[in-house]
Amino acid sequence: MLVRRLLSSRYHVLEAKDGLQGIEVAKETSPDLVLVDLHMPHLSGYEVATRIKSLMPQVPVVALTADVTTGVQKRVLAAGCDGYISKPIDPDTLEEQIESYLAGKRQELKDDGYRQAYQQMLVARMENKVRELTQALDRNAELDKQNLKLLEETQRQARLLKAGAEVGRSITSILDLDTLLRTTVDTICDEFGFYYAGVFLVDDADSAESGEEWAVLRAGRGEAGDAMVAAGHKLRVDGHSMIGAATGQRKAHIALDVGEEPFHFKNPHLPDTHSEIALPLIAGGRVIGALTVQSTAEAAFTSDDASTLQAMADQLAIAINNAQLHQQNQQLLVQADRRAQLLEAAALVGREFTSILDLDELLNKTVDIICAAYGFYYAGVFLVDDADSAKSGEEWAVLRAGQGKAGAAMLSAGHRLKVGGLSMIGDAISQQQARIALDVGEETVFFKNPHLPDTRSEMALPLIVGGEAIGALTIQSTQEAAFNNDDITALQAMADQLAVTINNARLLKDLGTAHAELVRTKTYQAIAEATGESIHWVGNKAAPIPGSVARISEDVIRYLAMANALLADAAPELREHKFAQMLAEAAEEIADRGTFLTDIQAELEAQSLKRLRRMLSVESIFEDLAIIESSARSILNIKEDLIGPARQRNLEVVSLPELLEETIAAMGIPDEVVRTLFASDLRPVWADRRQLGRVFTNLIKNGMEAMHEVKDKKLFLWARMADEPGFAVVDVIDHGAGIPPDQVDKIWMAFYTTKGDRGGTGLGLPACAQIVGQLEGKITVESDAGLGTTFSVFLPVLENTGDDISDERTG
Amino acid sequence: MTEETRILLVDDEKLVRRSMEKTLLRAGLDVETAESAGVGLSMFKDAQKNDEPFDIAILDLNMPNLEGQEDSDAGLKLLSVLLEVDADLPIVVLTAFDDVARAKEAVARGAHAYFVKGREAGLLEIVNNIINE
Repeated sequence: MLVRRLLSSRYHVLEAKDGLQGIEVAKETSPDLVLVDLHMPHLSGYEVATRIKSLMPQVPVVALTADVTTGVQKRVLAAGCDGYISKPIDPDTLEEQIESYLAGKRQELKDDGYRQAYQQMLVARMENKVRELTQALDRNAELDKQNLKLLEETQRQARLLKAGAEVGRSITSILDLDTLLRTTVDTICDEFGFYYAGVFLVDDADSAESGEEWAVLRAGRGEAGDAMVAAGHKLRVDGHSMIGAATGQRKAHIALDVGEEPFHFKNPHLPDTHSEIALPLIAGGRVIGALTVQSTAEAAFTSDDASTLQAMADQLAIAINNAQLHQQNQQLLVQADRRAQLLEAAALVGREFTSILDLDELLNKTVDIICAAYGFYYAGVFLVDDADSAKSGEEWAVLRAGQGKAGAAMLSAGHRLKVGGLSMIGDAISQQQARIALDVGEETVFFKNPHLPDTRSEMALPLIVGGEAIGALTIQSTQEAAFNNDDITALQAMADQLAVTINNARLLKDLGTAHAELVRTKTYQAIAEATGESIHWVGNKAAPIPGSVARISEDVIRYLAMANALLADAAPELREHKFAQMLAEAAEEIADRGTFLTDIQAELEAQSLKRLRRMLSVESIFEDLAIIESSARSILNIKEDLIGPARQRNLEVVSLPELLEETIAAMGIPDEVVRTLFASDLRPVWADRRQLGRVFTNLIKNGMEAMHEVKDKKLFLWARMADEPGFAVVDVIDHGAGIPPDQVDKIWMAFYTTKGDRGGTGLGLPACAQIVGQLEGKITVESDAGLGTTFSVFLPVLENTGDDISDERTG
Repeated sequence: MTEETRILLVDDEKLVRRSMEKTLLRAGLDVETAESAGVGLSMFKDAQKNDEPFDIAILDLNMPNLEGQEDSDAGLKLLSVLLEVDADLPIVVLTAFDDVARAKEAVARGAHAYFVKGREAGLLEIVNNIINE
């Protein structure tokens, strides 16, 4: 610094911080003069001077030194310097000294000894340098080796991490536990190059049962692993094994030489294992198992490996946990599915049940439906036989329906089981509780049934209604342990429904019996009413008869009295006439009956002729006779209407057109009044000709009577095939007064008549309906007040006749 | 009463009506007939208007009523109407042998007597009793 400050006013000063730099600067700038300090790092001032002087011999090189001993001066010159300037520098003379060296001043070295000594020093320094360099090279090599080792370790670490990541990636997506574990052990061995890997899981069920926790091998690498899994290889948690230690202590255990490890379980399946690491599998703070990784090399596991493998094990634990959860979910899903299936089957069964009201049909359908819907081997329904129980004092459950041939065989054998006896059915009924035999061999109350040899599990469900067991349902399967809790719940729900339905069917049967009873009673009542009605009616019809008879008797007596009175005053020969004798005899006969013609004669004499005419006439006698006849006819008609339909029927093939023509002719209805239309495709009917004739007689009569006030009477008969297949229809159409809407329904009632005093019995239409009903036909009516009425008689026709068939053949 | 006692007979059964009419005619009574309550009422009112009122009414119970409908109480209704017009009119109600209860009810409502159809001499006796009262 000092040098530059002193010189920079006159010279351009370039600086270098050490010898090497100085040489470089000199080579680049070719300075006019070089000042060199003797004491510098790396290269000494001597060496720098020697180097620069050999590169550029013309450039003066001057050493700066505090040591101005003679030896130093000589060594400076021996090194090639042109001279030296002593330190501390004298500012007053420095410039002068520099100028002199620039001007070519050179101090001569006379003594060659210094030159030799300098040469030796250079060689010695060279050797030193070479030694230093060699050492540096050695050190570099060592460093390289260390670097390589670090690199290798890093690469191994990277590979482990990569393998860990690989394992992680491949396992986290696996939701099936077995696949997950299998894949894990394979991946660990493949990716890390280990001899063996295995996964143990703590078996909760086992633990709960025994009170001891065991880690069970769930997957192992290769044949050794398969063999151990198959053998149910398990290690006790906290026991004397690395797995036991890892699971018990929740930390990784490494055996670098398995021979020295107290916890190592000597495993004959894995003879080549020399080091082993056991890693706990912890998920959600819970040890769920452990992972063992084994190597054929001793001390194969570093602590880095351990942490890498543990990281992977943690990932595995989570994956296992996920898989277990997934498995649980799947199980729940399967359970839910099965449950849904059961419920669907139960719903089907329920639907079918409620629509069946006949008890035997219900029970038979039930066992069939249960077997079909649930896929069971056999189902049967037992009902407690009350009658039997009442008789014997012992309660028996009698098989009422059984599925298949076995069921049929048992039914025909009258298979029954004692309530409370040693059978599942007997037990289920007496206890009012479901009985389940998951393995019928173990069930003490299972009745060994030769008809059902393949039954392995059975369920007996009580049928309970209103707190009383009315029977039991047996369901059997060829599978052992075929029923789980859900099944039992679902099937019991179904059994409850069945019990209610059975009860309903029974009630309905009772109701049916009650109904039949009621119908009988009602029928008697109806007959009694009808009889009452008919007696009333007959009574009304008969009412005029006594009056008419009395008048006729009176009239006859009066005529006889008048005749006898005239005879009394007649000539004797006339009184002898045989007619007179007849009259006298009649008077005597009448007198015998307590009536004396003389009295009558006196009464009549008292009347005027005009009055007599009103009291007595032949016309009146005939009228009274007509009244009697008409009344009697009405009564005879009602008898026919009442008894007619009940007559013995003579069924025969009847042609409707023929029958209708005959009927019209027999009724004496003028041709111009009745019009007929008969379809050509009309088929004959199978009927009692006389009864069917009465039907049409009645309907035609009704039509004619409905038109009694119509001047131009027209009755229309139209016979054709009905729209309803297999039926013919005959319309009887009048254009009379019509039936008032409020009376249309009543016309079918016995003794109801719309005809007022025109003499209807009120029995015609009911009788018609009864006759047509017996022929499995029907009568309908349509009526428009004021426009007329149409009665339609539907009758089943005969099947195709032989002619029709031959027509079809030829056609 | 005058010699010619005027009787209105209302019954829808033709033969029954004619038979009773004959019985009454032969007894010297002046009988007119109607086949329904409606016709009967108008004949009764016409007769009053013409100053030839009926002295006795004989009414069936079950026949077409004033509106022309079949009605088992038609006679009872006509009975009430006639009594409104002439409170002193003797009325005989006709009934079937098995329906006497309603006939008795008619008597309770103001009918003079009831007659069970059949032995017509009985009706004549009732009518004669009324005439002789």
